[in-house]
Amino acid sequence: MKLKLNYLIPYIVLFIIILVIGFLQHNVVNLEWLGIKTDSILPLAFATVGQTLVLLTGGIDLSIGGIICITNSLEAIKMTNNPINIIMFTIGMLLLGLILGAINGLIIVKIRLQPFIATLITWSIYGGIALWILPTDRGNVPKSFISALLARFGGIPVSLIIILILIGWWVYLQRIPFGKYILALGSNQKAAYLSGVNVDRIKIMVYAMSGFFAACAGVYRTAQVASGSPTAGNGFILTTVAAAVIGGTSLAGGEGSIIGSIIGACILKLLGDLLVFSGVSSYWVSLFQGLSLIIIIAIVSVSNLIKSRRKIRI
Amino acid sequence: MNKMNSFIRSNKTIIFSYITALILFTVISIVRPDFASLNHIRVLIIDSAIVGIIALGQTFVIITGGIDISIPWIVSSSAFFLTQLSSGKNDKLLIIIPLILLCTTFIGLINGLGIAYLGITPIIMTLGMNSVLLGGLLGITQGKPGSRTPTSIQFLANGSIIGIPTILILWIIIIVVATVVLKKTAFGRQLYIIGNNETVALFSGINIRLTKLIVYCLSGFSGGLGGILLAGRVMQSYLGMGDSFLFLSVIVIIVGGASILGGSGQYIGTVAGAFILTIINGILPVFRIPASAQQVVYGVILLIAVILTRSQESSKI
Repeated sequence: MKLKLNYLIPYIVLFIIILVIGFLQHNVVNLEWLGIKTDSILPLAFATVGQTLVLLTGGIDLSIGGIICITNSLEAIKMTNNPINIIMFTIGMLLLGLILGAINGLIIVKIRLQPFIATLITWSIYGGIALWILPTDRGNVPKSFISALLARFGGIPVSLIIILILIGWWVYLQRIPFGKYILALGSNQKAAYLSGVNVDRIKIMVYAMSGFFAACAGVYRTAQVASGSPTAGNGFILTTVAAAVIGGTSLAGGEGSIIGSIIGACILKLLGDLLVFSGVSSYWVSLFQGLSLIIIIAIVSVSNLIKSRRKIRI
Repeated sequence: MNKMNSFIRSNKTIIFSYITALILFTVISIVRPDFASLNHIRVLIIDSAIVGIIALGQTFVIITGGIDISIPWIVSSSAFFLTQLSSGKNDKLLIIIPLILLCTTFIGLINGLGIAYLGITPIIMTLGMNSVLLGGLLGITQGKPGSRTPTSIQFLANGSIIGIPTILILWIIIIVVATVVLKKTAFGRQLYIIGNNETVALFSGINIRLTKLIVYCLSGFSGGLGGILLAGRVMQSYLGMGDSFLFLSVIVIIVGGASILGGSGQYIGTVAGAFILTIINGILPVFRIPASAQQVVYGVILLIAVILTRSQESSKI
């Protein structure tokens, strides 16, 4: 029963934040507001979904920063206003993310490097490639691309629909073997291997998916900001981990959920908004994000320490 | 003769690093004769010294099996506060420099407390700290660059005494102290045991937490010192001047023969790594490789170095 209560905390926090925002800004919390917020949350939500999958297996993906930078830069400068070109190019970007992610997985599995060092290496390489493609922030993003991704269907934003699809996908994932294997890998890799799970293949697939979701984040960011940046992705590394941890994902792996992570992403973004709304300069936002990550992890670690001490006493 | 053989065997990776540095330097000097000019060698030494000093604490951290990626903004913060607090004048430096070093050591202390006493993974703790420092510095400066570096610090980084760069004298002292600490003191030996096997370290009665705490403090201190020297080298401070050290401070150590998993490595190896990376930075323009590709090159070198240092480990077993 106590475990259930822990899972509810992120939802309660999100509810309180929305209440506070509603209280501070009357008449603001409506469907239009929701659309603007889901639009701004979606890139982080995408990247966090990928990061969560990796964290669930007990790894970490630092390279998403580089993948977001590459896809964002390419989309911003290479697309033309032709619809077929836009669609093909976007699909190409998502495939590129998938491949770059799979490279991470291959390095981890075949060369047997620790995930953090393997993805640190590829972060450096991918980030460098992004800088090569686009040395400074600029871009020429087709209008039709932007309006398609920021569209509303009868007032319901595309971004909200995508978030609901992601949640549905996670519910489905939990029911199929692949989803169970991911969790099994994170709880006990050896046990998973001994029960016949193809550990290497699952790992490569998970990192490929993380790359794919990072590419989704990069593509969506292009529409949202209408520009490309070779460094904007780097901020996502910390925020995705923070959002996942706020949502109840364990850094040790095997525990957590994508729904929680999306809630975590919402909390992080809305808290940032509250901060700016209360008159704090947006320059301080990284400080707040870093602090919230450290504080939450410290709380989790301390509670784990207390729990393990209790166990010893018994 | 026997002693000589065992010396070579136990320091194989480090000797290999120095030979690599020498070969790189010779080959490039043949292609580009002005690369080996006295003036350019001076520049190479100064740049290597700054990288080497920043990577001092990181070497100790990596030996214990950790990593400190808060280095970039420790360096930037230290450089910024040096130029801002002194406003380009020399008179208050005797108070300002110890103050800055104290503050950066304190940042390392917080990293160490989180990692050693709360059990937070090093990469997460220092990633969070990096973001805190980035946000704090952006908030304080509102994105404006800092002012000029005091002339005495510029002399410390760029000047020379009887033809020897001043920074080289400082670096040699640091090299000697760091090597003696790692090789001859109990503290130094404990770092290797912690990096190799924490359980063994615990049962040998080593205070693992305190040792780790000291190591991260040292990383904060050397990052701060490196930031001051970097500000002296480029004669001003600007935001993000430490960014490249995120990868660089790790690569030079791995290239110097340390294992990323901990338990091996020496500061003298990091010195070789600093030379190799500085020379490589120098060749990129020679081969008309754009500066933006630097990061790609760093990544590839790190990958190769990690694979090489790792395979040596497995052959040891």
